[in-house]
Order: sequence, then C-alpha cells, then structure tokens
Amino acid sequence: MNKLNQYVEEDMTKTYKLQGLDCANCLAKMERKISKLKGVKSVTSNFFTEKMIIEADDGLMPEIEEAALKIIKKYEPQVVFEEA
Amino acid sequence: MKKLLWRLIISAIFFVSAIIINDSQLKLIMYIISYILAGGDVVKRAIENIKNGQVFDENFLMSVASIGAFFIGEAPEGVGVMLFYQIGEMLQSYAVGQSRRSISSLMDIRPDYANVLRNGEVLTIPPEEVEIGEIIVIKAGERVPLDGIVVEGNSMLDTSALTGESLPREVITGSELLSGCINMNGLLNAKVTKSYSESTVNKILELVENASSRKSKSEKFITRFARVYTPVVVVIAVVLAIIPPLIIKGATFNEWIYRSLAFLVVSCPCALVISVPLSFFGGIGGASRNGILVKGSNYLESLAKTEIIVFDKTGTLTKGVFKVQKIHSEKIKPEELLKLAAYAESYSNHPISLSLKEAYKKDIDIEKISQVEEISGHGVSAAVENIKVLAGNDKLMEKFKIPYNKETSEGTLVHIAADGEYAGYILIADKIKDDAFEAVSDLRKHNIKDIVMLTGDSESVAINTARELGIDRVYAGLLPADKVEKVEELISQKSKKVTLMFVGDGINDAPVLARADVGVAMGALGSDAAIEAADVVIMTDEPSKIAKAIEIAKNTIKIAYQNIIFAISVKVIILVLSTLGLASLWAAVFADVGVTFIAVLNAMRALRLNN
Repeated sequence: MNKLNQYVEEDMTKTYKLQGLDCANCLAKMERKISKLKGVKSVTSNFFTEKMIIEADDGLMPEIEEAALKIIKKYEPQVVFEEA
Repeated sequence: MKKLLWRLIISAIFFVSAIIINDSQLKLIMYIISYILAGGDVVKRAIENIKNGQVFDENFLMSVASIGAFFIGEAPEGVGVMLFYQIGEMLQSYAVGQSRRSISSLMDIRPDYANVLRNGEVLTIPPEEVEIGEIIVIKAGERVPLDGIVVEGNSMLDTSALTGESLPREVITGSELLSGCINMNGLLNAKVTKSYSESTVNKILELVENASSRKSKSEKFITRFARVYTPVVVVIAVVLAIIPPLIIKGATFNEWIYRSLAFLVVSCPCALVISVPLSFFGGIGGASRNGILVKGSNYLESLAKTEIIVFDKTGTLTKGVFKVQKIHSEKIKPEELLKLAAYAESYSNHPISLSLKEAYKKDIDIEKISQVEEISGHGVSAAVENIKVLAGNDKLMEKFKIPYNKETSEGTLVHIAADGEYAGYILIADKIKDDAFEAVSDLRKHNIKDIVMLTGDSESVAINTARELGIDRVYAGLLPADKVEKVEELISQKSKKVTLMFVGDGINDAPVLARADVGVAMGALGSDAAIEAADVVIMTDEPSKIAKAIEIAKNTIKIAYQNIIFAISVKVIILVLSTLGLASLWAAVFADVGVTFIAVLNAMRALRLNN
C-alpha cells in the first residue's frame, strides 16, 4: 500500500495550450503518439479550447515535454505549445 | 485568412478564364497558374511533412489527387479539387473559429482581477495572488473573483452565469459570497475564504474543461474509426487504380485512376473528428449555462438513456426546511418537552435538530448536556440536567421498549422519553418544493418509466408526499445504508441498456450517488463535497432542472448521431458512386470539406439549443 502511494505521488498533471490548432484529426494523432511516450500515463486534449492535459511521471516530465513538442511540430508546425 | 481569400479569388478568375479560352496551350498554362495560386501551399506543406516523416496527411492526399488529375488529362478537375478544397477549408476554419469563440464566451466567467485591500490601499492584482483571509473590494458591475464572506456592504448578486437563474440574490454582511457571480449595485468588502484554485468559479471551469476527457461511446467509436478509415480508403484507392484496368477488358488506367482519386479526396475523417466532440462539448457547455454541470461526455450519454429516477426526498423534492408544527406533551409542560428535545438534539446538524433549536429560541447551555449518543436512523440519547432523554422516531421508542403515542400525521414525529418514560412528541413538517410538481410531470414527458422516492422518514409522511407529487413508488424508513441497498436492488432489476439516476443533495448520500448509473447532486452551489461526489451537479436546488438536463443530453446525442450518420453515409455513397464511375471529383470534394462544414454547423446547434 505504501509503495503504491509513493508511486501515485510521483505522477503529475500539466495543462498546455496549443495555440493555432488547425486540424482535429492531427490533434487526435498527436494525442495517440504522445500517450505512447515513456512515462506518460494519460493524455487528453480538446480541439476547441486548444488544450492538452498530460499526466506523467514527474521525473520524466522534461523529456516528455520535449518529445511532445517534436510530435506536435511534426503534425502542425505553426502551433505554439506552452504551459497553460 | 484575408490573403488566402484574395489568392483564391484570383485563382478562380484564372480558372474561369481557362475554361473559356480556346487555345489549348494557353488553357493549360492558365490552369497551372490557377492551381499554384490555390494549392501551392498545400503541396509545399505536403512535401515538408514528408520530410518530417509524416506521409499520409490531408495535404499529401489532396496533392496526389489533384496532381493525379492533371496527369490523366483532367486539368480542370485537378484545379477544381484544390480550389474547392481550399474554399471548404476556409469555411471550416471560420466555423471552428466561431465555435471556439462561442465556447470561450460560455466560459467567460473567469475573473480577470481582484481588488485587494493591503495596508490601507486597494491594489488590483490577479485573483491567483490573493491569499486566504485578505479583504477584497468588489465594486458594482464587477465579478466576484474569489469565494469569501461579506464583511461590509450589501448588494444584489447576479448568479446567472453559475446557476442559469435570472433572479438576483441578495447579500448582506455575513453572507457567503461565491466567485463568478456579478455584483449588481452595492459596494462589497469581503474576506477571502478560499484560494483562487479552490474557489467556485475555478472549480466550475475546471470541471467543464476537463469534462471532455471522459469520452462518450460515440467519441471513442470515432477515434477508432478514424484510425482505420484513412489507411483502408487509401489502400482501396491504390487497388482500384491498378487492378480493374488489368482484369477488365477495355478498362483504361486513366478512367480507373480518376475513380480512385475520389477515394483520396474523401479519405480524411475530419468531419467526424471535429463535429462529434464539438457536439458533446457544446452540450456540456450549454448545460453549464443552465446551472447544470455534467462531468463528462459519457454522462450525457447515460443521461439521455435515463428511464428510472430515484429521488431522495428531503432537500431534493422537499425544501428540507423543517418547522415545529405541533407539540403534544404528556405529563410535562410543552415548553419543558421542547427544551428536552432541543437540548438532546443540540449536537446534531440534521434539519430536524435545527428546527427544534429554532423553535426553542433560547440559548442552549452546553454544560447541561452529557453522554450524547447518536443512534443512526433512530435518534439520539443524551443526559440533560441529569434526566436521561431519548429523542427520535418510533423505531427508537421500540428499541428501548417504550410505549408511545402511535398517532400518524403528515410530518415527522420526534418522540421524547424522559428517564425511560414517554413524555410526548413534537411534530415537524417539511414542505414540497414549488417546482417539484412540474419536475415530476416534465420527467413523464421524457420517457421516464419509473420514478421512485427513497426517504428515511416514516411511511405516512413519505406516502403523502409521493401521492401529492404523483410518484409511483416509495421506500420509507430507510437508513443511509438501506438506500444504497435499495438502489442496488433496483439496478439489478433493470435492463443494462437503460440508466438509473439517483438524485440527492450530495451531502449525506455520496455512496448512493456513486452506486447509481448517474448520480445527480442538487443545490450544490458552494458545496465542494457534493460537486466531488456526483456525476452531474445541479447548482440550484430546483428538481425541475433534472428534466432540463435530460433534454439537453438527448438533444446533444441526437446531434452527434446525425453528424455520424450524415458524414459516414455521404462518404460511403460517394465512394460507391466513384467506383461505379458515376461521381466526379467535384462531388468527392463536397463529401470531404462540404460535409465537415455542415457537420460543424450542426454541432454548433448543441451549444445554441441549450442556451
């Protein structure tokens, strides 16, 4: 039980703004790709509020952010990706 | 956007001229100019994306389809595809922009600043920077930035953004102040009780924004569909371009390539991917405008399938405001009886105890009470000035084997025994909410088969209330745990396809809310516990909002289904017709961008309908 708690505490949730999103299908693809990154627990995004919520391992967050940015740029280069 | 519009207009002029001109060489040059103007950036993006390792995107497929048309000698079609694709994209991005604006205006309850009083000076700072305990100043016309308590001033508050209710609410010194409301006239000073992130307005915004992460079945279906749709359509296109000319006598490559290009044009599932989530998001947004928070698209789906509604009685269908109506004492004076009851119940916050205290009027000297023991679902036992008092319902009397007055009446009887001897009863009655009648009759119109009422009250009270409201079934005398059991029993009896909804006040019935298919908490404005426990939260205490919530859910689902059926069937029809050589590339372009545009407009209705 104790171990489980520690594990849960290491997860963190961050919300990002994806300014200039154009294509909903691309967002779906980004979401899928990002959710497969190492350490990512869940990704949800909303095309209309242009937001993405990433729940991931605290320690891996910087790497995940970097990889996520790459994925986003690959599909929609014009998107500005920043923490909300 | 404007630049693109001009480019498309010029491109269209070249396109029309090319059609009119007779000289075949000049014609082709005009077509090429028109094409570059219309679709140059699409081709450029396609190439860039391939370099990034991203091949089958919309840009690529459109480029292949249009350039392919040029190669098989169908230049007008090639230009037309690109021109119409771009016009469609423009309309679509306009529609998306519009919906984004509607959504953000819907969420426009976020306070931008707070006027905080620091060292005798009023500073304007972001609400996030205000700390608990600080004094904020809210002028007329301003939005309340944080939850607090009024320390000075009085005013009327417009709560409509939170509750959907147009009637203003009065606040005076000492009143609770909820963030997100608008101060209509007076100047208010308030002491902050919650940080911004814990304040009502932020909680509501977070809830609505995160609601889209709990996806409905339709959305999950679309996601799965989109993943396989594009590859399948592209593979069929390739097969269609190559196989028939090889096996069918007289079939030419040109003709079959033309047919296959239509497949590439309709290969984006965009219409579905945009419009279905938008329908749900619009539904959730529209509901929140009505003071109904739906915590996820999946709950909209369950709401729409509701056939059984289980209401908790007190505080949900009735006001939950109890008043002492009658004091019947035996052997002791009525005032003495009331005193014993008020003292014995003084530790409880139950509505009945509060009404006893209210009727007693005098202050309660806590020193005089000892050995208080609450007996859940029965009442309380306590020692008041050395008298052993039992106060509670008939079950309590039976438990202690005390003969009592078995009179039945409309209301709750609190029996009191002093030192083991029956001393009389106090009649306390509740009132049915004004809109409860309307609520029940509205629900009947929404295909609700079964309305059930659960209550901890006695059977006589319960049956009376139910009869007045026209409720089918009543289960009375239930302890909190019995309510869970009853709901479980009802769930096990129903078909899995229909939803059982439980409606309660969200304070004492969290386990029941959790157990029901959809748990609705009512009167939840400002109550975190209720917001936490429920799937659907009704900010006001009006049961008539239940029917509204179901109506919104049904509208939303209908719109989402319309879009799914419309988009898929148009695409399938175009694919079949193209295969048979009966549809042109023009029709295919319509099936792609035209359908998306129409589907987005339709999805927007989900927002408007519910406002």
